[in-house]
Amino acid sequence: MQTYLRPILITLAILLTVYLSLDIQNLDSERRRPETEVFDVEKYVADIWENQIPRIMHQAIEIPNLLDALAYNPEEAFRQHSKVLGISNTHYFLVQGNGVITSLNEETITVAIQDTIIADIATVFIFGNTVRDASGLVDISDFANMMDFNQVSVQMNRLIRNERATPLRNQAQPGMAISLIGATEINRLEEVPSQLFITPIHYQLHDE
Amino acid sequence: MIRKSIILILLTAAVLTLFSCQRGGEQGKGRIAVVISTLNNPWFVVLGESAASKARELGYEAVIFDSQNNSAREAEHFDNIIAMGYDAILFNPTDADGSVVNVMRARNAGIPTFCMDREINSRDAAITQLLSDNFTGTVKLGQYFVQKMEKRGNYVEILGLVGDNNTWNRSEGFHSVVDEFPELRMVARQSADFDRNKAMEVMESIMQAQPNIDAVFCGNDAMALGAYQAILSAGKEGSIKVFGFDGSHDALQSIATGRMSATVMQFPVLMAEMSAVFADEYLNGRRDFDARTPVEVILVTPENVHQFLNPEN
Repeated sequence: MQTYLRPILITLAILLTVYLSLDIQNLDSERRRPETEVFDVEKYVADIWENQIPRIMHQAIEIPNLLDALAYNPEEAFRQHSKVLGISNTHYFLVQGNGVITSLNEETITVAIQDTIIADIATVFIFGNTVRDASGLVDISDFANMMDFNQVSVQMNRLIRNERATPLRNQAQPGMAISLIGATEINRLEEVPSQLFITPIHYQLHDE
Repeated sequence: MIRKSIILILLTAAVLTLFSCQRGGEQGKGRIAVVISTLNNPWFVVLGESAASKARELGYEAVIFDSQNNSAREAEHFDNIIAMGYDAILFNPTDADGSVVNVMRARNAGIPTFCMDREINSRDAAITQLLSDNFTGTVKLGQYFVQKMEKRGNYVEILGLVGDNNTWNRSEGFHSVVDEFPELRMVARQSADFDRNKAMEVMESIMQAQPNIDAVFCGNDAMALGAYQAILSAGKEGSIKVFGFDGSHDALQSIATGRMSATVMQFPVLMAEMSAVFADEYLNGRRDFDARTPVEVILVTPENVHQFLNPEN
């Protein structure tokens, strides 16, 4: 009797140990999990573009006021009006201005603001994180990796190119008045550029 | 055999404990572990030594652990670091996904981890991750590339390690620009694992298959220099533009002498030192860290390379 019992008890003990060591889950539920965690960049950016950016556009500083502030007290101007990501000397600003289109160029539209200030509106080179970071609406800590965080910029730039830059390039004519809200970047270690390079976020054209 | 192994482990632990007690008594602020993916690469040596040096300057005992690009060895290091009760870990991971579990174990043991240079795919395992802003760097490089290529031509891309997020962040940044110009055509794309010799071989074989190449974009400078060597051997120097990433001294010299077109300067010493500073601040009570701390990188071209070759200027 004992000779039968021992192997049975050992086998049961092994089976119990193996059973307790395993956590069996449905394979389909495991397969589904990563899909639910995939970052839907189009949906995320659509919400920012349609709902959140319109709410912060009033925060954009008038371009002449920004240039005055940078000339008067740069430290305070950067602190009060710009945003910066991580450890960087490049600062991002939301800006606005009213001016007159003076020329249409291959990659930009040049605008004179208050006669003395010249700004270039980007119509081709709309890349990087200028709008994402100037908006201050996207928190890096919300993302599982830098790739997803950067995809926000790629998608945002795509929308700007399709919905702002291309229509603006098609409609603009020299002599037209323009009201513009956009984003620009300035490196605090360099001189403030004589011509700001602005990525458009919103614009209105008016015949003079 | 098993008994012998257990005795050996216990003896090792006892010796390490005694050693750590003795060393711990010498330093007032505690101990920081610096875990580096590999010390076979000078880049990571600089990263590790800069982090350790800054930690010592801040008053900590610092010990460097070499994972030898082996995730199992990295896990062993974390086991020892947790067992020995280090106060913080400055960490350069071997694997974006595989290393997360190690950082979580340290976190659960109450040891904060600060990632350097390489990313792990987690929002909250590490206190923060100091990473070069690779994407922004290659966006700038991509714009310069488009201008130098006058928006047309055939190019090759040589990627770094395919399991490293830096590889893809650099590639994504570059393509987010270049892909908007349809007359710029990528005729080949291959990995060379950030290795100079592999990149030379890859470029040689690509040039045999693709006779009309106008440029090559490489995920780091070592590969760019390897690709240039292949181009030189094929007698095509001057007709194929070479773009890299890192800002190594050899690459800067190559830009100054017209062999390379551009690179992107990273700042490993800054990243390493700031990770030690952040660890010190955390241990002194600071808690408001972003999950990631990108570190700015700078486009280096023939127009500004003198600033980096002669930093005193």
